[in-house]
Amino acid sequence: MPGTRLTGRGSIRMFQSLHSQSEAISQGGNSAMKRILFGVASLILIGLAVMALPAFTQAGAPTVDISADYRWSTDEPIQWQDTTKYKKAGPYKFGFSNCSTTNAYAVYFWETAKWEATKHPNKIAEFLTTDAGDSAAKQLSDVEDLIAKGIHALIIRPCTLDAAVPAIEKAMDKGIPVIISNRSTKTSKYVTQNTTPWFDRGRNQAEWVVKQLGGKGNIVSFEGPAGSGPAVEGFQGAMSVLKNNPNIKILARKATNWSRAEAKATMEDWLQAFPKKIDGILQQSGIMGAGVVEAIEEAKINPCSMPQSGDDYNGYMKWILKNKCNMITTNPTWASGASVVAALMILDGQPVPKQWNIPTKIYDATNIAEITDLSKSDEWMPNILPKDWKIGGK
Amino acid sequence: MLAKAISRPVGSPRSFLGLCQRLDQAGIVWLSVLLLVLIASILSPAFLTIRNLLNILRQASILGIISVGQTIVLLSGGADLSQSTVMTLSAVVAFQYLAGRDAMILPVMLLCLAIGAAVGLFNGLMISKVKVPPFLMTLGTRTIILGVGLVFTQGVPQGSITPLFRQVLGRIDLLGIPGQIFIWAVIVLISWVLLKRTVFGRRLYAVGGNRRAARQSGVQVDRILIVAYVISGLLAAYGGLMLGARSGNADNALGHGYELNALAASVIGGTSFAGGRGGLGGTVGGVLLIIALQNVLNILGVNPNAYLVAMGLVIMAPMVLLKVQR
Repeated sequence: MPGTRLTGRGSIRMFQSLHSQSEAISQGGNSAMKRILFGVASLILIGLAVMALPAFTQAGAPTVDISADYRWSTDEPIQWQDTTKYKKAGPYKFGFSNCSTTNAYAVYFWETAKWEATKHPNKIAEFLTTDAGDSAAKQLSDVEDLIAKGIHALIIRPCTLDAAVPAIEKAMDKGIPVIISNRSTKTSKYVTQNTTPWFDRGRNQAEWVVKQLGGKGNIVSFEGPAGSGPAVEGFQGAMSVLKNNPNIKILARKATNWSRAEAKATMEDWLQAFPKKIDGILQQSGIMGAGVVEAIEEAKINPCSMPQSGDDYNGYMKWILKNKCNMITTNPTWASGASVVAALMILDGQPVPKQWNIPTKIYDATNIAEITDLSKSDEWMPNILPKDWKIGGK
Repeated sequence: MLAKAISRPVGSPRSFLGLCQRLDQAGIVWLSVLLLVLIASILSPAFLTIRNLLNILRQASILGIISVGQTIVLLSGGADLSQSTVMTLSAVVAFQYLAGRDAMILPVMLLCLAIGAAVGLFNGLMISKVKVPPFLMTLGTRTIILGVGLVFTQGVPQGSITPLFRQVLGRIDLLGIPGQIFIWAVIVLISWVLLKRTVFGRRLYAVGGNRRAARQSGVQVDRILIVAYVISGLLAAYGGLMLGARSGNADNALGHGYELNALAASVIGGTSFAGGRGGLGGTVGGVLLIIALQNVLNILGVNPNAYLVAMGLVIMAPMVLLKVQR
């Protein structure tokens, strides 16, 4: 205490007291220190364990709950992409370069992207969109414009395999993650591709046609625009089956550009060129399939005598339902929605599959009713848009 | 003596070259069509059958109708690049308002023809009164009408047509011949009479040949131009209805490319871009050349990647023949 004068014995007692107190303090301090050290070590160990956890679970799997519609196919091993370098705080500016909206699929695809974007108002501040009008050259300019506008992520549906490759690679070089949507690109410089597996669809369609023909016969092939991913990869998928079936002969093939009228005119010509020789039809799309069956009917031939594949264009599905023959493989219009989700995941630093395939399903006359809508026009396609969503709305 | 030598025909009258030298461009096109038919018949027995020839004529009918309108506009010294989008708009409007009801066929057809005429009127007024160059004007209209169609359908065309609608627009066969061919023939005949046997036709050629001289001669140049574009718009709208009836659907790219093929058919057939020269005879030949070629390439199974190359070369052939002749 201030002012207290210590005697020798008092000093010793104080010293002893102080010593014992300091020992006590020291011991207590040592204990506290130990507890602190133990706590810190525990935290470090826990942290290391958490970081190491992915090594013990599915490597790279993201920790978000993906909608079932968007869930990727697990038919092939997944190559996870580490996106930590793209992680940044929101809100974000997205750029979406679409090839075109001139057919039914493209419209529902487009609308699904816009709808998905509206579900994340706090994360997506701007959703810039461009339409290339089926022009690869314009798409290159569109992508360059989007990059110049400072987008944080680029989603692109390429018009052709080559379309906008320089701009795609430029975006990646600038640190803008690129998500390929629906169609393929020639470059591997992108983060993820959300798509219908065109190769698998082509393979499924060819397998069905070959089976219907008992492995023997002549076929004709209708394809999408020359150079487009669906057309090229779809045909490659078909050829993977046909090369093992030498008794199936392709009489003719043509790119009829997703056009019902063009496919119809071509089939009219082929019915003349190969009278009674066409046994089956390899068809990539339902809109062209609808024109083809009409050409066959007008030639007074039973279309069911020429098994034909196709996709889920409502006009073609209605025909299948009525005539009880032919098949389709679906072409999910919601790949674009998956692309928007993928972009959000990437900017959040979450891993994504390099190849994010939206599974395709097969329907034939026995179950086509499940996805056909007789109340809708021929131009309708199955989609996940809410009933109150206005096509053409923001 | 030198001039006489130069002016003397190179080929004898009975030689192929001599024959070419005596033909005008329309004649060259028809000669090309005959040569194509001959070569195709040799290469494939499937070509020269009644059924296949009727197919060609049926497929040619829609392009043929559009080309009549294009020829009339070209004769006036202009061009109409809005035909394809007018075709598309006409078809999507028809599908939307028909909605599967036979009772609506006539009102819907009249509505679509009115739309085509209105677009033609707009083109004609802007070109004649405001003096906008025809190529630019109709290119702009083309884009506007494409946008109108997208807004109208919100990207997804609705509605449906009826079997009766398809029959009215030519799906029915008459005496074993597709109705579309008769409709095309009637339109060509009426238009030929209009061009060759009426005052309007004479004045159209005059305006296309020399607009200033025509105006000074008392020709109502603006009125002639407006009528030419209205006819083109009407025929484009009608062609769109026929195309929608034929294919059974109407999407927003239905008429894509038709105006360029119509231009090609008209010019190959001898109608001048400068105006005042040409006629429907050559245009019909040009249409047949284009469609027959498509048919031949399909029948022969030409490599799809080489398809466009083959098309371009054969379309150029009459022009090359003509230049060689001169």
